[in-house]
Amino acid sequence: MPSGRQVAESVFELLLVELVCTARAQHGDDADKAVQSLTTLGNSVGSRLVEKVALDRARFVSTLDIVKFVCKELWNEAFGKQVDNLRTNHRGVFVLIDNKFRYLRHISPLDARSYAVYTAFACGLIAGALGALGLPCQVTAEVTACPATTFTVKLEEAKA
Amino acid sequence: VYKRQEYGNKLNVGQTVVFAMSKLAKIGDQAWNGNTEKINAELFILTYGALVSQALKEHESVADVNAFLEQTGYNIGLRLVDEFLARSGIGRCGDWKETADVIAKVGFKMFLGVSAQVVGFDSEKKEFSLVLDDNPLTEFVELPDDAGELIYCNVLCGVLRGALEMVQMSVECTYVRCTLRGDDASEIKIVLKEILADSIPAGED
Repeated sequence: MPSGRQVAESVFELLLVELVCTARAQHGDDADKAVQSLTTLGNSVGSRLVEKVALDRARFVSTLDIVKFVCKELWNEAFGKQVDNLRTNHRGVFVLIDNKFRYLRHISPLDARSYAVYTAFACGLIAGALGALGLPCQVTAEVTACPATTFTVKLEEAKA
Repeated sequence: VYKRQEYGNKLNVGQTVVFAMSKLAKIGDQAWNGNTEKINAELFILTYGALVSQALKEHESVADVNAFLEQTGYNIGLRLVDEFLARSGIGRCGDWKETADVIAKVGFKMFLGVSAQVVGFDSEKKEFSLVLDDNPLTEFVELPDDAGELIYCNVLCGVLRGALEMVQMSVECTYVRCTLRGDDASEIKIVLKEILADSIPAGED
C-alpha cells in the first residue's frame, strides 16, 4: 500500500471541513447523529490506514505496545506529530493528550461541547486503528484549550 | 517536452507561448516544492473513499451520489481558490486558454502533486479537456460491480466549478473518461458558460 505519494495538506483539511458540514446538514439538530456519522467514517479510514503504517513492523508484544504505536507512528501519519502525553489506569483506560491537535488548528475557539463534531472523525480513526490491531474500544475527545485535545480510549475488554 | 499541437493550428503561436507553458509548470513545481505543506496521500485517498462508500449507502440513486460528490467538490473549490491565488501568485488570467494552462500546470500540481494536460482546446466553443495520466484519488481504488454509473472522481468537477466561479467564470465540468472504468486516462471536460460580472460598484475601476 505505501506509495510515497503526497498531496497538499490543505486538500485533506478542506475535505474534512466539508465532511463536517455535510454531516451537520444531513442530521440537522441531531448532533449525536452527526458525530456518529463522522465517527463511522473515521473508523473505516483508521482501520485501513493502520494497516499501511504497521506493515513492516515486528509483532506487538502487549496492549501497551499497541497503544504506544498508535501514539507515535499512527499519530504521525494521521495527525502530523506524536501524542504529547500518555497515561493509563492499567485497567483498560488510556488518556492521550495532543497539545496541538492538527485538525483543530484552523478552528476558532468554540463552546466546549461544540468541538465534538470536529473531533469525531479523529476519534473514529483512532478507534478503527486500535480495533484493527486487536483492541476494540471507544474513543472520545475533550478539547480543554483549543487546540489541546484529550482523547480517552476505553478498551472493550479490560486488559492490563 | 511541450507538445505544440496542444495549441491547435488556429493559434498563431510562437516561442512565447511555449515559454509561458514551461513558466507555468515551473510556478507549479515551485509552489509544490516550496510552500505546500504536504501529507502522505493515503489519509486523503482513504477518507475520500470512505466518503464515497458512505454516500452510496445513504443516497437513493447513483445519480444522487454523483450530484452529492460534485456539490462536495463545489464547496471545497469555493474555499480552495483563495489558497491557490495566495500561494501561486498568479493574477488574473488573460484569456480562457491561459486559464486552462494555469489549472493544468499550477492548480493540479499545487494541490495534488500531479500535472494535467490540456487537450482539445476550442476557443470558439470555449471548451477544453484536462487529462490526468496519474490521478491520486483513484489510487488503489476498485469500483464494486454494482457501481453502475458512479462517477467516483466527480468531486474534481465540483472543485473546478466552485473555484472558477470564485474568479468570475461559470463553467460546466464533466468527467468524460476514468481509469476506474477501464479508460487509459482520466479526462475532465470544461466548458465556459459565461463570464460573471465583477461585483465592483459603478464608477470604480
